[in-house]
Amino acid sequence: MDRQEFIKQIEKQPFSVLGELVYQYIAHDIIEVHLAPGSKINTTKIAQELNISRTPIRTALDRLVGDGLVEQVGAKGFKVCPVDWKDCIALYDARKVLEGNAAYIAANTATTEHHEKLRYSIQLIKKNQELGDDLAVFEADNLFHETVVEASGNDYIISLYRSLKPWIRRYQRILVLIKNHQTSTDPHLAAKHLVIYRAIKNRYSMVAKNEMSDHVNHIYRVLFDRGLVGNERLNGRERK
Amino acid sequence: MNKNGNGHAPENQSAAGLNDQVYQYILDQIIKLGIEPGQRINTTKVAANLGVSRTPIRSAMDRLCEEGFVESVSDRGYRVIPIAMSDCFNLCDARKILEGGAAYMAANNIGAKDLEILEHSIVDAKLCLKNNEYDAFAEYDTIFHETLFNAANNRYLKIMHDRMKIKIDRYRYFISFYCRSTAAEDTRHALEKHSCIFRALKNRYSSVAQNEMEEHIAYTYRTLFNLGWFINSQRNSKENLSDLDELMEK
Repeated sequence: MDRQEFIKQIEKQPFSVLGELVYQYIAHDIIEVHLAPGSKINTTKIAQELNISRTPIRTALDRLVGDGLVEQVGAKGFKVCPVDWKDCIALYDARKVLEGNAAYIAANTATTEHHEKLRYSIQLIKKNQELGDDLAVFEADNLFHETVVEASGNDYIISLYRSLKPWIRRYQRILVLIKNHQTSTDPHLAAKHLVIYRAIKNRYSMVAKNEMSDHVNHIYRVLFDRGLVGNERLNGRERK
Repeated sequence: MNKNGNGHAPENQSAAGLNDQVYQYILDQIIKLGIEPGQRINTTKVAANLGVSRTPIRSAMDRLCEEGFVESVSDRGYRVIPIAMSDCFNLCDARKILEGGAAYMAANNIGAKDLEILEHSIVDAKLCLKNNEYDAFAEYDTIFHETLFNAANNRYLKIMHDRMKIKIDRYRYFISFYCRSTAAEDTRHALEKHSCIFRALKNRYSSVAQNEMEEHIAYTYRTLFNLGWFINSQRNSKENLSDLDELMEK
């Protein structure tokens, strides 16, 4: 949600809880890396930008601290949680656990529609990699992983995956911003997805699980290659 | 916009506070089985009991509907969603994945301090079992599982686990309420598994820790099936029998 959207929402439903809207506004800025990791949050500036008092901003920030997107500095200050490669590895460790097992279940439960959706997402990756559109490749990448999780048919697993989504997106955006290489994405992404897709379609649960875990593991290497791991200057970069 | 923004913020916040309290109250009732699965909720009565208007009740009900605790049955009526076999399976699977993964990571990361806490929780729990205090046992059970999660040292696993906490709690109360007859045996079994997992962690056998944790969780929910709760239950026999039919067909 950007500033225009925020004002539109306020005009549309003037009685909605302001704290919720402000929360979404700031969370969006952090996830899309408009606010750089590790940078201080200027509440006065946000209050001016949105033309509101500082109370709802404070409520929103408290909630964001609970979410782990924002850190408190001193009594009154706040800063965006910095990113480092250890935190990134923790995220991918968690993904490996969840998605490997989701793939195992999905191989038993996926329907024809799920198969179709998986195939479609792989085509999207290929197309956008040719076009060189990194953000669109990541979108398609996420569509694939989301579909595998969805295909498990387990509402708990689906909800758990959803709670990781903001962080997945945030790291992807950072990768695109760093842009040390011609492309921020893995050139073999579509090929690996195809392997997982075939395992799920053939109902080889163990193969699907292994390939998915291996795939998430491989992302480490890509992150290393693309300069996310061991990059000291990650924090403090801001999108103009 | 300025006027709206400034004028309504404090009012909205206090309204949000009341909504939150009412929500917590009803949720607590559902989890601790003050309102049983399948039972209807009389919103007028709840409003009168709490001395609040129907608006915060309405907002609490909307939230509970969204979270899958209640469903609206008729125009203004609500009922607590019965506990279904498929939901129980799903929760069990999700817990096995998360806590199994956490046990695996903990085996590699755990420090002396966390090992000590785990050991203490087992020793104290043994005393509870000796004195037949099953409710107190639940506390040490929580300490064991939480310590293990901290030892895994992965904040994303923790974020996910926190998201499931309420549902896990609901089943915990549910099992202790309906499975009293086997409580002694179940508790003894759980305790044995805890010490088994502890030994695996101490020796840093990650795969063993993961396997035993998965076993431990599966056993917890198996009790409900052993007692035939899903088949005998009068309250939601229809849903569960159809679930069972599906299962048999597979």
